[in-house]
Amino acid sequence: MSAANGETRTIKADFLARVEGEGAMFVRLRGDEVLDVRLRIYEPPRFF
Amino acid sequence: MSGKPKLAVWKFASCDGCQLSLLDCENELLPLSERVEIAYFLEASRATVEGPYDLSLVEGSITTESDAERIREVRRASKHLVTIGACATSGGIQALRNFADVDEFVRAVYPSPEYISTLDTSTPISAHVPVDFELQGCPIDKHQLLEVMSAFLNRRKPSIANHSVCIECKRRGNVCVMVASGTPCLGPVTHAGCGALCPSYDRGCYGCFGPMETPNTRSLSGWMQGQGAETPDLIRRYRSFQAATEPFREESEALERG
Repeated sequence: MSAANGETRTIKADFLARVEGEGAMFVRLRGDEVLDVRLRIYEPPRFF
Repeated sequence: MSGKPKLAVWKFASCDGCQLSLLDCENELLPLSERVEIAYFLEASRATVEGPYDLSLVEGSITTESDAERIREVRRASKHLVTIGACATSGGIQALRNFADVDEFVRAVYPSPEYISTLDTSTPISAHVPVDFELQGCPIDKHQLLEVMSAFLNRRKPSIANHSVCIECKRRGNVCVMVASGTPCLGPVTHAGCGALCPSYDRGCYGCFGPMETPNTRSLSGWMQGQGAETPDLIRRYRSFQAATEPFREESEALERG
């Protein structure tokens, strides 16, 4: 997958099973440049 | 896709350990997948099949508004719903908040409490929707899980013994840790399923499988106190993975009242 052509790609993982519980990740790239990264941990807090 | 019954596995507030007990079935997983379509199991695969589902296994307790809504959707999509583990069956270790101020917990645990959204209590699935069977354990025992799935697939009642850990302990030929060495042990009031794991290693049972059928916690506390156990220690003993289950909660509160 060549990324040098300036094409914008979006990677969306709605479910990550093992990131301190469950979470989601959103990455937007243009070519090799990362434009935006968002990590969301939606695992409910357990405190212990 | 096929005429096979559809299995779904759902997670709420939990550590994933009970779902891992299903993956841990290893050799039994392939025959199982011949009998059922594993339609929704994000811990194992991101490929999902739409409901309705014939059997839903539910791990975890309800601790957020959105999960309280999501469990109702899961129930609507499921012909049979079985809870797996201490969290789903009694609220889990996170139900310790039920005895305290949850905001204090949030401030103590998280450096940026403003990101945290949670309810004041951790409640079992049965407090929100009707449940067809509750499989206890922290984590559950994989053989009991296979038995429960087999029972639902064959439309029969699961054969899960609800006697105490003591029975399993005697079957293993263990010397009683309480009688022989005065070690406090919740075995007499705890549901079987672990194979008396802790007493087999000279440790008292800490009740992770939750209450057996008709547990006599009052009597057990009396015996442990008679052997020198301090009341605060006994309260902590009842308040762990199964703190919110009724017999253990009532006993810890009775001990607190003195």
